[in-house]
Amino acid sequence: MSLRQILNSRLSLLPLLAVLVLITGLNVSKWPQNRLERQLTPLVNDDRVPPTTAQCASCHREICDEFAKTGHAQSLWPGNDPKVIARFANLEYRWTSDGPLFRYVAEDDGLWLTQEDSPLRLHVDLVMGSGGKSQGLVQLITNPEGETEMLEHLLAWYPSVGLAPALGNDMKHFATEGMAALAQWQEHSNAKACIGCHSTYVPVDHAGKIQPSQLIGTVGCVRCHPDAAGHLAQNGNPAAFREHWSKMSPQAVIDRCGECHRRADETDPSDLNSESVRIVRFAPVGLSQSRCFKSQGAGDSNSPPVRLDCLSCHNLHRPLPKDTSVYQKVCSSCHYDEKGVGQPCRSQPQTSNCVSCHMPSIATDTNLRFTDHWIRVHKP
Amino acid sequence: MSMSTRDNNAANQSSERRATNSAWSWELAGLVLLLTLHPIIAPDFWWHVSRGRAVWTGQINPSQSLLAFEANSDADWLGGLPWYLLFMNVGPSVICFGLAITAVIMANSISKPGDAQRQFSRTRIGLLILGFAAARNTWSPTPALFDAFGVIATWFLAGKIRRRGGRIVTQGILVLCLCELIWANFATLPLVGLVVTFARLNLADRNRFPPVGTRYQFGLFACMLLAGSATPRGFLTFFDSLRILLPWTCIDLGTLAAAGILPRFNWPPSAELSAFVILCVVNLILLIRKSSAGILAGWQDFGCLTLVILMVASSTANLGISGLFLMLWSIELCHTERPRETTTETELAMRRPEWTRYLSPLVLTAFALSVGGGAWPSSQTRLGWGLAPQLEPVLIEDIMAEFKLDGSGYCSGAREAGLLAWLRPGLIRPADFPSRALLSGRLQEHVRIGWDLAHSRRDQHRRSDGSFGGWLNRLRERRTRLLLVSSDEYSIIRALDSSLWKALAIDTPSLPYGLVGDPSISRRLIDVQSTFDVIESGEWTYPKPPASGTGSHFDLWGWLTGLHDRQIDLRLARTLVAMKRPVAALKVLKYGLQKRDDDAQREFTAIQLSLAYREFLANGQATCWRMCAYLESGGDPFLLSRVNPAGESAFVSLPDGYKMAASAYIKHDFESAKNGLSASNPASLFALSQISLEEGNPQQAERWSKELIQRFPDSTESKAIVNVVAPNSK
Repeated sequence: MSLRQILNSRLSLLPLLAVLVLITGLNVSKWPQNRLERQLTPLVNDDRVPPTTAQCASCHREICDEFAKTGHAQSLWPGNDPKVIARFANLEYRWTSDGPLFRYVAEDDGLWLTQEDSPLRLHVDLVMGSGGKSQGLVQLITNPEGETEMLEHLLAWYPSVGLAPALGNDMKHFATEGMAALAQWQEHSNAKACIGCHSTYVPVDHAGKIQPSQLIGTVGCVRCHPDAAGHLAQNGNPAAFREHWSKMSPQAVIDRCGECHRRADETDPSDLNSESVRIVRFAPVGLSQSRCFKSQGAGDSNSPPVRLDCLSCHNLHRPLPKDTSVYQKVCSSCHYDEKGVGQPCRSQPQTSNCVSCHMPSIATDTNLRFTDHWIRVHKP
Repeated sequence: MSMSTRDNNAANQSSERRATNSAWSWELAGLVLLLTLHPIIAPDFWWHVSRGRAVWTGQINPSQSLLAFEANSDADWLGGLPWYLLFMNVGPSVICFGLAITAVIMANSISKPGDAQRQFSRTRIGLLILGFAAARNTWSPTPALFDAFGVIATWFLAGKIRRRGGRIVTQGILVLCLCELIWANFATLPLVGLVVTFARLNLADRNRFPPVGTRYQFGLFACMLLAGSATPRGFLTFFDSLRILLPWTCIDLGTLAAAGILPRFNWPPSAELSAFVILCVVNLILLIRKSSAGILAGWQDFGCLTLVILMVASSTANLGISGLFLMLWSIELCHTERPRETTTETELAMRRPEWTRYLSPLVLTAFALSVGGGAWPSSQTRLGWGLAPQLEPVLIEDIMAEFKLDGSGYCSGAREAGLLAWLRPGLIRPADFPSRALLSGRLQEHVRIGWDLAHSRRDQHRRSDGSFGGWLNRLRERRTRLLLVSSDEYSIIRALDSSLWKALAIDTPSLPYGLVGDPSISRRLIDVQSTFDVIESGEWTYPKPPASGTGSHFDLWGWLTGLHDRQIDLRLARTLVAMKRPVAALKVLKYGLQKRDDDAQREFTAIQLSLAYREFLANGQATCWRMCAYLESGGDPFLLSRVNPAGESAFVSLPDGYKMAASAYIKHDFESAKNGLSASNPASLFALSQISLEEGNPQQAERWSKELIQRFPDSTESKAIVNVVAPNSK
């Protein structure tokens, strides 16, 4: 059969049939939309399980061992973890001297929050926070749309006092009845965001339900090094990383940290003032308002003459040093440097503790204190 | 047979033929009218009218002046001008009648066989009906209609050239080029003109009319390309055309699907799509049957059919013109394959059973009636004229008149962008909408912002594809002061409810949202919040929409049948659910529930579960009333278990007649429901208070609530009233 004959025969129908099958499949199925959904899903919810810190440790043992002691590595705990149960079981709290008693009880199916005047009890599904500042407890529920929501317990744990009202819960206005007497409801988007910032991997099904059993509940290597999977697949090739922290501009660095620790450009402008206690918790916000940060050479440049960002003081692979002399050295590198980039302190000698004056610890809540990263001279 | 007898027979047949032709002509007119006489529903109507206004005031690049970030010219810059002039001078109703009459005239012209002696063909009429049904959405006052005219005009003009064979016909070329020039300046798909010309010159009956010479064709296409480039866009006109025709050539399928450009073929299929599919099948059968010396139709024919199907699968905008093209092509194929055309209709009819004579008219009439009456599934409109309620600007016009905004407005679709461009509150301009974003390479950005809004992704975050998401900074960069969201975008509405963007209207087809803290909209915000309280828990009942429509919209079908379009109720109920106003949504579903409408009942069931969930969040347990109403209306017991920790024990002490009262409640028969409840137990008292609330009688609801709290303070129902429904009822 010649080509012409083939083209003019029934075989001409084949391309038509092939196209019909293909386009029917594309237009009937949800494949294109599902593909886009996978692309636009936050990385922390991506359905590809990321490498764990344990996998990174196969080559970076020392770094990972040190990292395991940091707050990031202990940011989220399952409610049935033995350490959680050991800490919370039988802990009690009373709002007021004659108010109802709250108590955590450990049973076979986990930890429960009870209140003596209420028939309701709340399960502890997750515990958020390393405990360095506090730990909050939540129960996960599913709404009618199939999405995971959260009941955030009204109590939290603090190293200084143990159980106490959680951040934002004012003792004067607590409810006495119903679920509001035990917890605050967090809708789906908040629940995903909260858990997402405390995790490396939060698998979510198509309806929006979080799969707690598959959660990787630490802020692991992948959160800061998102190309780790490619790096592993290429046998540790450093070229697999598209992003290098050392090459990012100071603004880009604090913006990345700010994705969880809050960014100035995503903060209510009315809060961006030195009197606001609300922003003290959010280190990148304060740092971005500091004159030290703003006046460093071209804050958007990838290689400014001097550099101040989160990484100037914090090595995230290690626990935060408590010794302030570590931070003093960073201050001195500009303010007492021969190049004279920054001004020396006019009221205290070089050997004094810069941080205690210029970055004091501020009480943001009854039981919480944070270092104020808005570097400035604090008015007494 | 003598000469006079033959003459008499011929004369008799001729008069019979004329009578039959006349009957068919009237039937065709009626059916086409049923299909094309509908209100203006094109979502981009306001956009094109705005462009027309801009051109009328001297702008030759209307999109640049109307959109906030547009830098490209419009090829079809004149596309909106005729519609603007018509809209301002004669109004939407006359436009609708004009379009329908144009369709009738066109259909009649196409239906007439060239030879006046020849009988009307039922096949031809069937094809015409299918073609106009497929092009139903195209037959609207937008440039898409000029595309349709272009297809038809080009087909016939190219046909004339074909019939002259290889002889160069200068006049024919000039007319065709003029057609292409007009097409390019008035509509978006002049590229289709080249396709139609190619098809007409090379396909159909190659035995009767051999294809036109290749050199001639190249020359013709070159001239048409030149002519079509005489627009403000120049040669890029055809690139724009290609983008619209086959958008996947420049952007990924996922973005196209999310933008609503890539069609999703749901079940049941729309009337337009069904008509197109039937046309494809008919065309395919004709191609296979058409044979000459044992050779099937060539690869060009199947290739062309493949291209047409591909066009429809590529973009929702292509369905109408593709349907028209197939209609014309199929009619031509029918015409060429009639070796039996000497047999008269009468002789044919004598061979077939009597009832088959009426079969095709009946089927076609039933089809046109179901489409025109809005009974066809997923039908968006029905017989009538004027502006469809979805396009009615009156409500939103009043609201927008209060604002004097600048910056840009995020618009979820063409309707919203068009409304904002038309109403122009202050200096604010729409940022984008899908079809314009597609042309200018901004579609990805537009879709991603919409995605982030719908999924509450406010703050910057890294996405799986390595890009960064988060709507807050994106909108801030664009100086966005207003969001205009279609009331059908339930995901976005739901997500915005807990954001800083608050609704400035409730029942408009396009919902404006303003930012909390913006002084321009603060008063309006307060008013809307008050309105929410009234419709949710105040003395408000949903007024039955007039069956014949409101404003400029006349619903002829509703006027004839007395039944208002229940899709209006359903859309509003879904919007209220998305705005987290479930009781108001229940009030709106009243008429649908009374008529046992399936869609209304499904919404009702979902709302009962969400109300049960609300009770669970407040009290740790849903009430019996909600759970009974949910289960009796067909709800899934598994889903109920999430809000019912008490399990079966919650239903143990149900009073007699409770379930029957719930069944009556589901049908919105409140009187029967109340009669079945006695005020002697907490479950009934709660039910009575809820029914009173949904009746729009808050005082009675409060009386029942107070009695419940006083007599049964420790009951689940009492706690539900205290903690959920009326916290001030203590």
